[in-house]
Amino acid sequence: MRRKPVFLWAAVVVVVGAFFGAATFAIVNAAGDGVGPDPTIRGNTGAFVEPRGNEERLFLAGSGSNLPLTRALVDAFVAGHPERAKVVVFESIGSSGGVRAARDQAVEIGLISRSLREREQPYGLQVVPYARVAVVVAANPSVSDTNLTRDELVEIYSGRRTTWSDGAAISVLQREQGDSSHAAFARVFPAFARADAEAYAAGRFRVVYHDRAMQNALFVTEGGVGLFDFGAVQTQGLALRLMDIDGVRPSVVSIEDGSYPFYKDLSFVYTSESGKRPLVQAFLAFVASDGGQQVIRDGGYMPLVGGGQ
Amino acid sequence: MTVSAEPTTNPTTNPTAKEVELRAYLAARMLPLSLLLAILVGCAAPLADYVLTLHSLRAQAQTRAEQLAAVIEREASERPVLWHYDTPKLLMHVHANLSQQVEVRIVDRNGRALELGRSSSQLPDRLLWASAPIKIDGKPAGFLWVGLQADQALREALLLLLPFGLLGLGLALLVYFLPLRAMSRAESQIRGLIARLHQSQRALESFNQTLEQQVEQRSSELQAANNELRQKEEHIRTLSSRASALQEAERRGIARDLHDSAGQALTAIRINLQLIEQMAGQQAFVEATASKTMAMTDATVEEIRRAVASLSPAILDDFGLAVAVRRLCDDFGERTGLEVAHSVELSEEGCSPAIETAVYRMAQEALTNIKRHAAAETVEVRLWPEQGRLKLEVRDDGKGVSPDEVARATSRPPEQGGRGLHGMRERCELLGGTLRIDSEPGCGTSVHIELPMV
Repeated sequence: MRRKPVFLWAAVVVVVGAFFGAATFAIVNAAGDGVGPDPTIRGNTGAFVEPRGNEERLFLAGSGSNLPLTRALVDAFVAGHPERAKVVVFESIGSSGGVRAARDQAVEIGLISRSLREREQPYGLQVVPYARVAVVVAANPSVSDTNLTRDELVEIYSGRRTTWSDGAAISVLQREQGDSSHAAFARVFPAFARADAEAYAAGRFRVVYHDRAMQNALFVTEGGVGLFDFGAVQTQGLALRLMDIDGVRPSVVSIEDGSYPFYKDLSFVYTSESGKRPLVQAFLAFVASDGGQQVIRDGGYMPLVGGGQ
Repeated sequence: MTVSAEPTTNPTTNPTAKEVELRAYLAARMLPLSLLLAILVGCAAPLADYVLTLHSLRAQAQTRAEQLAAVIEREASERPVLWHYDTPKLLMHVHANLSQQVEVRIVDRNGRALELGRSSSQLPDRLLWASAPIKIDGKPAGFLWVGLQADQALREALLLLLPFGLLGLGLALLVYFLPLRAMSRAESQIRGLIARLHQSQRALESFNQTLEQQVEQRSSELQAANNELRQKEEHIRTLSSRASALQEAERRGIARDLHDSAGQALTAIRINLQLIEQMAGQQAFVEATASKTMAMTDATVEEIRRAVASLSPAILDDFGLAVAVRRLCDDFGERTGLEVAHSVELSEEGCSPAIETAVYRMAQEALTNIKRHAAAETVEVRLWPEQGRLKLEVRDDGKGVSPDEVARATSRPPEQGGRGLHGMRERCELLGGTLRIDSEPGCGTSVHIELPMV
């Protein structure tokens, strides 16, 4: 009588089970514990700064384009008022960071160098434009050229022109996409916008992410050129080469008369709750005051007092 | 495994699949092994590739997380208070240069996730996550997570599964069918051998039957020859008995003649000599001669009488076996002085003369042996019929002999030192009877004789 190989089948089942068990163990071991960041806590979870409570303070943070002027305003605001010692202007965190920090009330006033984006509208922030500043093509002090046409600018950013008129190599310094200075040029100069975007996508040039980094890079890079704020140069007295565009020199006057079209507006943003705080109200009132307006003008900015969005 | 080669009850039965099941046996065992081979070969390489790819992705994620964490640390160190709000911008642009399969998340030390400014509503499934700590001023501020999609690894493994599955299937089929094919051939050969074996068994059975018939025939022939031999033996015994009877009759005739003629003549001579003696009384010489002649005549008469008696015991003819045996016992007792007891019982039918003579002679011989060798004091003689046979027993209380001596005596004729026992046995067997002697040294001797009545 032929017996069925039950034990053989059992052995096969055991071996296959052990094989797939070992494979499962190896896969799990290779994939790690499979646990990533908790998906339930993605997105906005509130302020990353400890609640201030009832402490009276004025924290300001945001775009690097705003910082030179804002620091000048704060210095004037606190001058002679020791009780205003709690006014702090933080390092650049970008316009987007300023919006979120203001939203989270991590700071009382956020600083932006662009208008609010669509997805930022629901935050319900108050926007107070307070200055307009020319965006300039700044170059390393070693550069001998003082003027660029729009076409030359496009050729430089598209990589077709690589030397200055004296033969020195051009080293373009780019800002990240969405930067307010590039946006100011792109708004009135589509050809430049395309060349800038292509260069950014191709990784053709060095990219810096903050105004201070751009400032430092322009100083240390031979033949370097990049977009910068006229106000920052004026306020800090930077010895950078500022290029005329098509023969128009960037200045408060040229942006006021419209001959120089490349500019951006600087604004304060804050929540309605922050706007009720006395120190905030006092600061805003100072900015709108004659003293504040004077500080703005002295810094190379065009005051936008009374404006708003 | 079943390989049956037992002889079947039906010699014409051929080996069937149930008798030789090697192929089915092998198939039942090769099937799980082949299945195991197909699974192992088909799955091993894709699984190994999947595991190695996962390892590689995890290492890539870990490296990328450490690189990005280092970038974040550099930027965050310049704005330690609000680094959370600056990092998204940095990451957004760093992320733009990375593969779209890379997901980056930052969680602060309290477990809160940073808003990175990208749409994160759809987190891809099957991500391999690795993390690196973010430290500001040497203190842990959070963790940067990098997730790489593992779908590609799974797709590659599934793509490998097809060729390796086919390879495993092919190998399994080879491993399964090649031995089965060989086993089929072997099974076919075994079936042929078993068929030949069955054929040989049938031939052997047929040969056995023939041999049994031959043996039976030879046995029958042997039995017939035996019967014939037995008949011839019986015939010879009859002839011998008849010859013995004729011899006995001849002896009796001679004895009767001697008794009737020579005896009568000698008796007349003696009477005449007695008359001469009476009439020549004065003449001493005549008297002496006549006396001497009479003595010689008496001696001759006695001699003739003994010769006649030895030729044929006339007492058998005159009084029969029973009286003759009793008289023999009495005469033996008187002559030897031994105490002889006898018990003789015979049926009225009686026996043939040859049997009677033989019994009488053997009784004589037995008593003679007792007188000569036994040194006995008492003798017992029994004669009686039993179940158609005549039995004689002669027992003494003499010194007896050993069984070996008895055997030698019965197989040795008197001229070679025997005691007449050899002649007794021959006489007995010649008439279809048996002789048995029981004796032990110091215990006397018993002679048992059994003869047919007729």
